[in-house]
Amino acid sequence: MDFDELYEQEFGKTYQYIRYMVSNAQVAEDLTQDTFVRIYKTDLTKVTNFQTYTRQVARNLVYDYYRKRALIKWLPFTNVPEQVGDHDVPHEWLIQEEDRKQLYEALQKLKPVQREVIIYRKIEELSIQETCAIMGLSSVKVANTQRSAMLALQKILGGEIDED
Amino acid sequence: MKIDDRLKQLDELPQNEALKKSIYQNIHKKPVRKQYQLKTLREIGIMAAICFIGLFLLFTSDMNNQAASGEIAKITSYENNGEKGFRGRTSTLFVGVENVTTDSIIALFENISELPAVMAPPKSDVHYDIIVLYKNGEQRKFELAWNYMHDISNDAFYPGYDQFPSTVLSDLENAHDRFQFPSIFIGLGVLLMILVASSYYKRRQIELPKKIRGMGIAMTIYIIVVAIMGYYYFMIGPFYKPLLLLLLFAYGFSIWWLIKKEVTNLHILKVEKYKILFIVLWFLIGIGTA
Repeated sequence: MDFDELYEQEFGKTYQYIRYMVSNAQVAEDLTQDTFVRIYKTDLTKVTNFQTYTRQVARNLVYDYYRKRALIKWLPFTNVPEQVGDHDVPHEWLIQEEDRKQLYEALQKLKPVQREVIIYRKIEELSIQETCAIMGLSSVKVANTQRSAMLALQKILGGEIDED
Repeated sequence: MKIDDRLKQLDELPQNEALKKSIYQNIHKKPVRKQYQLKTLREIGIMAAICFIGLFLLFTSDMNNQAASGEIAKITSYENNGEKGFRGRTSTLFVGVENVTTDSIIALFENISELPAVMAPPKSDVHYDIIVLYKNGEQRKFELAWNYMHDISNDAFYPGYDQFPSTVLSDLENAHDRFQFPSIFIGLGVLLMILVASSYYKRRQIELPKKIRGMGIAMTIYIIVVAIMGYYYFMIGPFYKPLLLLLLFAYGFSIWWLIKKEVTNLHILKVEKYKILFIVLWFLIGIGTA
């Protein structure tokens, strides 16, 4: 697979993942671009699973962003625009419908790792194995995180969840 | 509707075609910088710098001038417990070398010409290797034991510290009587860190990379360096602390350099980073208190 094919195939899901993990639209766009710039620079002949690889790159960038944000919070004399978090606005499509908005807001209240598992397992409906490969966690850990995330969502939203 | 089913609708976030197009164009517009070449150059540069600093320290560590006698500038001592050869050095940056420039010891060496010469007595395994450095750069080496003092530079023998005022021995003992981090703790600490890391991987079922490229070569180099260090310690003399620190940082950097290239999992990277930092820090404390 060459870069153009990969870009065509993975762009949508990558942007969606980043948009749900990072509320700031501009940052999400920058991280999406950075993800594909990194992939573009990579020798794709060595990549065995393109979906997993793309998601791993995106994930690393998202976590790098979290780390930087956590650091910036503690820096004195930081300019106001650099205080990331002020421009966190959900995607227009999400606020068009009340149910989507509620779900999105509930999702934002979860821990990043829980949110991530929900994105992979419940939104994109990836298998446990695929999720494990992307996140580098054991299946038990993924299953436990999924359970705790669903319980947290249930607490926020009410309603029922699948017990399996 | 169950939350599980409600969540599925979030998978239909509309694709932003304009964004997709603009990112694609940006990527193709940007010239691809060969970052890896820069990184490799930077890493080679760091390694070269470490080697040059090491060589600099090695060749400038124990320079001294030979000249006529004069006043005493400094007296250093090494407590020799049966180790081979004369181990005194003029710098306290050597492991085990202490500054013993006290009034009683200065008085002893300033008036050494007044001491009675004696016949060569039987050598004692436990003694102090002392270097007296004069202000004009001259230095004289002495071996001081309970029954003799051997002026190595002039091959003359004098009575031992049993015949001198008790302050001489107490000053020497006080200088060498300082807290030392037991070396067994270093070994135990490293072992503990390895066990903690492996149990963490086991508990989280994280699979480590089967082979790390270059690790075999690195291990061979480490073993050779340790063997050389062992030979140096037993046959030549005490270690120079800055050089030990340099080797320690070179070890930490090289092992990190090898591991970060091969790991496929951020958890491994994090654990290995803490492991290396802990080991380096642990040795650092050991060297600092040596």
